[in-house]
Amino acid sequence: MQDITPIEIKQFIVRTLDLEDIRPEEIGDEQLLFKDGLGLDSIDAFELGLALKKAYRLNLESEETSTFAHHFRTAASLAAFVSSHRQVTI
Amino acid sequence: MPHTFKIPLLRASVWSQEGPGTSSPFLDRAAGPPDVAFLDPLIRRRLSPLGRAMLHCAHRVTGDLGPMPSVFTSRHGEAVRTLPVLEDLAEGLPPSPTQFSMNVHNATAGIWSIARRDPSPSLSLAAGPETFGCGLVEAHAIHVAKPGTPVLLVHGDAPLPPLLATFDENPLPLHALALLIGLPAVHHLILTWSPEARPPGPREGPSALDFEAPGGPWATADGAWAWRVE
Repeated sequence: MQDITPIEIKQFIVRTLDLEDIRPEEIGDEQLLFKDGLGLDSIDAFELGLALKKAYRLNLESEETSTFAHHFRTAASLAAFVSSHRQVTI
Repeated sequence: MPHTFKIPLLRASVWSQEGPGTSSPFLDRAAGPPDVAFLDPLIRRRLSPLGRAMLHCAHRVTGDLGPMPSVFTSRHGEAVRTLPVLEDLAEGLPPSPTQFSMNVHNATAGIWSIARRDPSPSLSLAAGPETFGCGLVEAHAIHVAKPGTPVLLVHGDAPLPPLLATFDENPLPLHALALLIGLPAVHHLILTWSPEARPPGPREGPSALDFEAPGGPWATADGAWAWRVE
């Protein structure tokens, strides 16, 4: 399967989290998504994780939950994470 | 024995999906969709249409005033969010964390307090068809305890989702009303609660939408409400 690009992840984030005033292309690939970066919070992390898991049927069985915070840091890191764990193309 | 509450009103703002209706010098009725541009986009994105209508009115009566206690009332609250959470749970699916966190009855009050950085006490009530009347009594009690500080009362309701719609005998359009209770009063709302009375007529409590018109008595299981604005 082809890798997920950061712009696909950004579009997914804006759509899933109702970021009404932010366009996907305004989010930097390496911009922090949470707190002082884009400003997302812990509820967003849960929402995003659940939505990504559903949409891409992520296989997370071998993944330590303590690594999630690292993978969710930026659109680029999240794109790499989804690319390596997904089981479907959407 | 009837109980009478003389509630001092400073400002009032109402919004209804059915349109702006007629304004009076006292009652603000804005046209168009609820304006919540005063909220940070990252905060306001989580508001439901009901939450937007309620905070639109709340903002119009409070303006730049400082911290104040608040009472938020809604008969049905965020039922449109609770239902999908219950449906997901019934199917064994994980519910949306956002829907789950925002379906609680004090979700809108929480957004208000965060946005205004206001740590004042806040209550969120539901009391069936008497919700608005009970909210008035609660807000008035807070005002009487500390007359120097205004109290914000915000009421709102939205139609129930189709699955639950039969539970509401008198469905209203999406609407909200905010009252600023305090001194020096522009008007007084005289609210009377008669616990022994059992008048015939509709079993509905006071309606926020036509609160300026004298109303009642409304019969409930425990008594009757009546009011007038003077």
